[in-house]
Amino acid sequence: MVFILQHDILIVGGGLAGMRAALEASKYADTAIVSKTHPLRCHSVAAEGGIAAALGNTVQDSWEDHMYDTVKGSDFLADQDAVEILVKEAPAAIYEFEHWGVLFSRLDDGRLAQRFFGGYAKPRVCFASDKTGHAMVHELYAQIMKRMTKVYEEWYVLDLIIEDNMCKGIVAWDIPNGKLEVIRAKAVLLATGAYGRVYNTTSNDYASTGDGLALALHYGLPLEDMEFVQFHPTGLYSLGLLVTEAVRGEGGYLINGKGERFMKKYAPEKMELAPRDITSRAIETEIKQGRGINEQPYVYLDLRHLGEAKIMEKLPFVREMCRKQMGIDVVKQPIPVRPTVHYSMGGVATTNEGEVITSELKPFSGLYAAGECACVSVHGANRLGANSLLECVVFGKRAGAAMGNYAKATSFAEIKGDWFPKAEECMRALFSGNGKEKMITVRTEMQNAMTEHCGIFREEKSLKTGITKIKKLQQRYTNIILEDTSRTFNTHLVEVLELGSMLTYAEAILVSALNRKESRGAHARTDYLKRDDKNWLKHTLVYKKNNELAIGYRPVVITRIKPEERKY
Amino acid sequence: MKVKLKIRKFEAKKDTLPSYKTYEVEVPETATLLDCLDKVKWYQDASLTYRRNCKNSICGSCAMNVNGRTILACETHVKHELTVSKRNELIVEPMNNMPVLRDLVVDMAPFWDALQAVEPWLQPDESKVPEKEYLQSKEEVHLLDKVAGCIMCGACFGACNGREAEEKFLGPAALARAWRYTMDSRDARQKDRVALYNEPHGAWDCTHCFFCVEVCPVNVAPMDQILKLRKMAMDAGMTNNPGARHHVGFEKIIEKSGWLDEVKLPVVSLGFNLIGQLSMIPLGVRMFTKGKMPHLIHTPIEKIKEVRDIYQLAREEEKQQRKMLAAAIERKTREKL
Ligand SMILES: Cc1cc2nc3c(=O)[nH]c(=O)nc-3n(C[C@H](O)[C@H](O)[C@H](O)COP(=O)(O)OP(=O)(O)OC[C@H]3O[C@@H](n4cnc5c(N)ncnc54)[C@H](O)[C@@H]3O)c2cc1C
Repeated sequence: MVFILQHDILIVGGGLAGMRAALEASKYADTAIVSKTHPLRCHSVAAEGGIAAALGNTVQDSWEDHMYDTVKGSDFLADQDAVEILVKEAPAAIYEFEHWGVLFSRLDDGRLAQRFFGGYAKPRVCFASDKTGHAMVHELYAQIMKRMTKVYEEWYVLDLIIEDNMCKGIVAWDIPNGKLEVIRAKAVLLATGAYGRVYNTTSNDYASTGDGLALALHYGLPLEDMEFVQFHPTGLYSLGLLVTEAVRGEGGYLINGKGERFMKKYAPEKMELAPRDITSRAIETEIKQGRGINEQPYVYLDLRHLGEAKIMEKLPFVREMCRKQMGIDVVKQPIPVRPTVHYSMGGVATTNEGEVITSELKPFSGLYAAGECACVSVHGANRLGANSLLECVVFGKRAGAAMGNYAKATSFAEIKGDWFPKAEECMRALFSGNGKEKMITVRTEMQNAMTEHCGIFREEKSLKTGITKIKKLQQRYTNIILEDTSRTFNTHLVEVLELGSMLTYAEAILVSALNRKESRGAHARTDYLKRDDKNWLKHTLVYKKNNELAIGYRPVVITRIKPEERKY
Repeated sequence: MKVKLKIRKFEAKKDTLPSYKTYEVEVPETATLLDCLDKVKWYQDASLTYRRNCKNSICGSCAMNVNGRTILACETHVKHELTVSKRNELIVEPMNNMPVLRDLVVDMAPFWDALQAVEPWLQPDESKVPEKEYLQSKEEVHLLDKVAGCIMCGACFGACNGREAEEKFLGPAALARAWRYTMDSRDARQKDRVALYNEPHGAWDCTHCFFCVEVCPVNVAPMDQILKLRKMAMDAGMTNNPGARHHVGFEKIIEKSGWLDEVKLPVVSLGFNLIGQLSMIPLGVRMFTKGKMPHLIHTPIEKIKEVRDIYQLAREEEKQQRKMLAAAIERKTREKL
């Protein structure tokens, strides 16, 4: 078979991780990005607060300190070898972006400013006011433009070509033109980002549907630590949009219905700057016990005491967003907030070079993952804010280099199966429009089920109910109807495909949560209240075996820091 | 509340002409236009096609026209829109100046091509890259920040008069971005950039219509940046192009007579360019037949002295400002040493 489209390296996803990997890989071999949204529309542009690195620009700081905070924040589940790489490479990564033109906020002497973020003992977070993600994505995309790296914009990746225990390319849907395409490659990177849309209230964008996770799971490859779903404490009530942690980093207060700064009960030392798992549980507890504002399900985030000048210098986007979305001026009014689904600590299990691993913990040839859809794991059971942009650029770059070396040393493998006709047949069946179930009904039920049964607090019976519900929805999905059968820019088709992805791994989240019988980081079981290092200081792997989900484990790498009680 | 939307439907490969379809949705008072579109798409008509992603004014996906104005759907509150427009329905259409693919989705290729053309990446002196960060003042970051905050939604490009008249015009967003790199102290190619942006279909194709400033959802004020690029070109002595000559000619004519000599201006603007001059003849003939011929004899106005005094004042003011600026720079340099 002759391949019209072929690249040494294919990057699935044009976010921060994908683009960083592409830039690196393109130094070694012919590289292309395939992305369902234009790169500048990726979710990374929405990152507000900043990116962590122990530059020590305002106080003495070191990579060891950054490492300690990260490991403690992770509730000791992060792999310490990976964390060491992350924090050691952080300063160089920041300088690199600064040299590409990111307009980071500055100190009086012209060096990079750094601020506090939850869970850090020092001001360590570099930022571009409160539009850090935007600034980094736009300058990184500029580098992609400069190198003229090929981007297949608005192409949806449907399938991986996997034969002979290796990845040989992808099958994609060209959204504008309504055409199937097969692209052959020596190495493929999954960089598809977050999956918050599997819940009904999230800070994540519409495209955060975790497609990469579904692709890996489908081929029997394991997802790691899927039970750890991060709820960000301050989602704008009731929209779920993010109010960045930088608001608390700059000194904002959390206030309950009685006017108290209630964090003093939960984290007397760190107060509002406790890690996200603890702060989110504190807010939900206040609400549950009737101390929400006017007994409503929200509390206040108050930054009035910061004053207009500081707000305009450090948090202009927050002010603008609250004005636009809620008609609130944060200079004069407090912001109603409630935790919102924000980040996935879990993802496709990888090595430190981004190689996807099998359930036997061996690298799988030709397939890589990086960014939020991967689990290296640097965040363990709870990510610290500002560490994830960092993960994207550090491990994106490493994966890019690893793929480059791999592609240089291998030649294109022959594709034996009839992937194109098979995919066409699937599409034809879908386009015949013969199903009965409506996408919106199934999706809403799924999102409600996940929110109800796998939220901030979990418990066995409820998780089991959740699994039953999701399994039924998976069944109903096989009878889905395509309500728009046009071949031009069919965004309804995209939503239908995304729903298929979400239903695939929704079950994996529930199964992992049911399996872990302890409370650690973001995983809080009301029937197992304590952390249990004896039995559970290990990563969960979940993978498909004979069409059922199976559980496995991966040891935690502990090098420098011994697990201890986690207090803030 | 009930909201009525009249939406333009069109599918590039199928339809020859667009049509309008009216939908009615029940939404909360706080709903945005995007909430309404989602409601239509999910519950009434899955074929309705638009882009959207972050829902938070930062990804730039959902620019479209409402009642003839370009906006972001995710931040446009329908209640407010209905109140200010004094209508009982919202007319929703795709942006202008780009081909429509389907319904509210346009092909943004022309926009991206224009962006690529301004070389929108930092071009530092590779031999002087510091080990750590470059030093950059807070003031500089502040100066560039607003413009660098552009989300590339294309609203300005869609609304641009210059682009409507001239398909090769780079348009507001690309040129604003160009200014941002030109002014960045880390960039080493300021002079080349100014020259590049003053080539045909660069900064001088702007028609000053202000639409880009009006529609920009993040206050980039592209036109202001374009004017700054022009000023930089003039200051650098790059005056040998129709745009700059028009500018200089305009200034000279007014100083001489106090009012615009419409016969002379095109002659000055086009410079020594026989073909260009000849190309003006048909326009002249048409103006003559329509009774719009400007006066052939151009005499100064009565109070011409006052006009010239204003010129004199402005020149002195500028001289003064330059002196101050030079002094400030010198002081700063001395402090640094
Ligand atoms: C509101 C918000 C604020 C945040 N603030 C911070 C912060 O201040 N600091 C910090 O460190 N972290 C922050 N985070 C987290 C951080 O932004 C993300 O973890 C990170 O940006 C993820 O980057 P990514 O490259 O992995 O994915 P993304 O940027 O989401 O990119 C994924 C890409 O994959 C594409 N894609 C997905 N599926 C497919 C498919 N099937 N086919 C083709 N393409 C596909 C998408 O179109 C997209 O281009 C924040 C997150 C949110 C939600």
